[in-house]
Amino acid sequence: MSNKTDRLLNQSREEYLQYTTRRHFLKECRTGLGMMAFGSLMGSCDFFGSKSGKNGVPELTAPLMPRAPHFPGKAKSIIYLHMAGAPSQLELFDYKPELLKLHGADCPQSFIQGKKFAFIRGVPTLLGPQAEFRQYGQSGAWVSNHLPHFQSVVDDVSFLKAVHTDQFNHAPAQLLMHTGSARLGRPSMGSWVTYGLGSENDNLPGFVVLTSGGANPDAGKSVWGSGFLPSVYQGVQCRSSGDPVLYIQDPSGMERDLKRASLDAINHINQQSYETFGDPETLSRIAQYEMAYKMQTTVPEVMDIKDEPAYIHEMYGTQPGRTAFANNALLARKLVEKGVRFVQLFDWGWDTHGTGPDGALNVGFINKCRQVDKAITALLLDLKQRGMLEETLVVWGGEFGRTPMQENREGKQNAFTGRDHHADAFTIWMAGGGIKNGVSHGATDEIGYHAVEGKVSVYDIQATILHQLGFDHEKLTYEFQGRPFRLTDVHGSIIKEIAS
Amino acid sequence: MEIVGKLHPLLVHLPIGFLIIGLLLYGWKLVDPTRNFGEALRPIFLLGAIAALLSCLSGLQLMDSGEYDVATVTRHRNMGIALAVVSFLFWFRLGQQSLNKRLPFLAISLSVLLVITGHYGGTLTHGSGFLTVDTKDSKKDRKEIKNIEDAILFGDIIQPILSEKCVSCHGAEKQKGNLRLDDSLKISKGGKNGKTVSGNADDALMLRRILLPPDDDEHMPPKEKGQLSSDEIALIRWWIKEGHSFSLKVKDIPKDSSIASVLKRFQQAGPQQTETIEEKWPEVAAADPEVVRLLRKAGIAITPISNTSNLLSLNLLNLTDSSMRIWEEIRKLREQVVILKADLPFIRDEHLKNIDEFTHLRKISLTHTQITDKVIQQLSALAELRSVNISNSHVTYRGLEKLVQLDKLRYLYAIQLTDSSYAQQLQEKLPNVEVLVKPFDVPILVSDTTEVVVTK
Repeated sequence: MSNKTDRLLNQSREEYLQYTTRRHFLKECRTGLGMMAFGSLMGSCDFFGSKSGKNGVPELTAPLMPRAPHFPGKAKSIIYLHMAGAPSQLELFDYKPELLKLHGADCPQSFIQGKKFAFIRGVPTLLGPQAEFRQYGQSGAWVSNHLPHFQSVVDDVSFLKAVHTDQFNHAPAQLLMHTGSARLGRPSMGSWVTYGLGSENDNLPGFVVLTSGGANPDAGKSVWGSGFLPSVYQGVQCRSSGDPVLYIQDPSGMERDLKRASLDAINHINQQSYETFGDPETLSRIAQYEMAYKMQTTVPEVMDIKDEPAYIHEMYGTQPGRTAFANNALLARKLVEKGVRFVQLFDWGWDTHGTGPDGALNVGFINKCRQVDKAITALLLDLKQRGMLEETLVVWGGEFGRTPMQENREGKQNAFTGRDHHADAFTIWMAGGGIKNGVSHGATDEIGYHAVEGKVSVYDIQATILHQLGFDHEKLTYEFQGRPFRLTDVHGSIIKEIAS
Repeated sequence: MEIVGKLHPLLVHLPIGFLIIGLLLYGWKLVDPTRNFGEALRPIFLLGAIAALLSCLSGLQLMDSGEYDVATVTRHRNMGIALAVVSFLFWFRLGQQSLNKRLPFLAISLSVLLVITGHYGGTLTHGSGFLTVDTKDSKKDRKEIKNIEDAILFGDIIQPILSEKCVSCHGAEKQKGNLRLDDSLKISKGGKNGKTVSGNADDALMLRRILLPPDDDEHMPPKEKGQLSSDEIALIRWWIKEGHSFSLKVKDIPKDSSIASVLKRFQQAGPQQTETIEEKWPEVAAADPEVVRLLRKAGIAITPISNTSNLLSLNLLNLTDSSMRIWEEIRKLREQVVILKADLPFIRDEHLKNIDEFTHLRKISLTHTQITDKVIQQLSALAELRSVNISNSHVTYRGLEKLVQLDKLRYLYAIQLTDSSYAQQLQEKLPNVEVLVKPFDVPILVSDTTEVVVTK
């Protein structure tokens, strides 16, 4: 009998030992090993390291708390007006009388040899400016007749006439412009800025995105994504009609205190989970739940333009309830007034190839100009009269420019006047936020093909924007995958000619 | 073989390291004879001597490139060879007990040789003034130009630019690419890649190199060195285009409108483009963190203006508490606050009764408040104010007149106040201030609401 019991005992002990050896690593050590790995990861991320303080990584429980830049910046907020599809600089700001004389002539071989275009094939013909130009203001800035309102504010603006990029397709060029890389995965400029500065209003997101023109930009939501930064810094897309943020209202029958109680419970569990695993994204999640709760009351209020006085609506040309660029421009002013750090407007429909009337320089393009001209002018003047232009930087531009040649898709002249994508030279302007007034920097050659003077890159623009906010673009970094990353990667220099 | 020469700047650090550690250990042994580094000392000095020999060989190779000032490089060579010889001698004697007596003297001469050789090497790479002259001050040496028309284009304008931005590598001590830009004859001669300024402006090698993108390896000056400003480039281009004369005066050379404005700026600002004068911010003690915490909790956004300053920007955006208690706390930050935004309908004169104590205040915004001229009276004591916004408050234009004594005031926003007939006079009294009294309007055009359609 005793033999049998011994055997049984031994057997069970053996089984227990086997059980522990196998389960031990999988179960008991899971957290331990996980924490060890996490610890080393965090060590390299420097989340809790020496830098967290004045200059370091933001407090994770209050990721949007306002923070100081490297030096006192001139600008406190940014409104970035992106004309998605790339507007033609040759019909707006870059006046080329020589190109008019050459209208219809074959493009010289030297311009097209070894060059890659998105659509142009063979030998295209040159296309003269499809607009009339005059000089305006004290600064004598050239502006075309397509922007009759904007002419009056040129002295508040500085032009960069020779911007270049290295991407000639929409999505990668937009990504490069806004994230500093033509490939997916980097944080957008707005995310970097809110990561660096936080936001003055903790009831609203620090980075808001508004779109118009009937479609999102080609690069999709990645142009306002947060990449490897904590996701609380990504852009929040708001709509200008209907609910500003989808599903922001509580379902019918749900009381606000019930909502509060359930949020408290969820946050409590998340907090425990954070204490166990230490994943910073958990804190992001808690902060986002809290922000969403506050936004339920604040966002509908700030996103409602009905209460604006009549003269403001007249100024912008807005009609409450519509989805239009003008409404977004007015909202941008309201959001910045309420302490939002970065407002990103995308207006789709500027891709004027000349394949149809909507994309024709003498039809659709003019209509696009009419949709934005009054609103942009009103935005600049409204910011100015409120004393906000002093500290709000407004940037206008596309992702690249357009060729001086008429597009000939598949070697055949397109049905309407239109131009192909052009990465070598295009115009961007900036205003406010300490940018000099009435400067025109850079120039293109006689037909607007190459930059000949004051050539600046997309990275230079990013560096300049960060500079105006008080950042050294080389020092605003985030440790990821073992090295510090920055918006301008290894490039960029401040455009001193327009910055101050 | 050229690569051997180029390795010289790298190799020279090996003997420096070996010999210094060897000398230190040897010195220690002299002071404290119980230390016995005998085992280690000999191999260290052998390595040092071999490294010194290799440095000499590579240095001789580099010298052949002819990019350096002959006198300095010869001295550097002689010292280097001597250093290598003495190192071997030291290593050899270290092994022989009988000769140990005079070894300390040899150690001293070795140290001296090391310093001298290193110094000449440094002079070759960094220029002779690197140690002694403050590089920032050297820019001020440029003489002032009284009348730009009488100035000699090359001597008074172009040469100073070249001296500042180019000559440290293309000058007497160092001649990268066999090019010297420190006098007119040398400039005409050019370097190993040919003439610098021949041909028309855009073909000239000097300008081509300058205009390459900064990331290009051939770009001049190299990316990490001081860059030319666009005005300086325009001047160089103009000089080359107009025949790169070394004697003509500015007035004798044809100029277009853009170069005329560059010249005007040049005369006003001096050759160095004026860097924007950084506004001086006062240094103050840090704010009481407890006060900051309390005010933040009340809904006030508090931001330091930079991470090296204790000055603060306050925005009362989400403040709901209209009691004086909050303002008693804000008052504790009177040293630190430079920007104050209190655009809230419940703000009254009473809240701002101590605002004249905020001596560093530069910008204040009190729109949509109930404040009256009394507050303006207080503000007129704040000499640092640059921007005042009292739009849509109860202030009158007559009250604003008190701001005349603020020299630094640049912006005054006073939209929709009573008594607006007085606005014109106010602007006359404040000539340096941008006074905004009327909301802007944007005209209504037919084209705002109509569309172009296809015409066949």
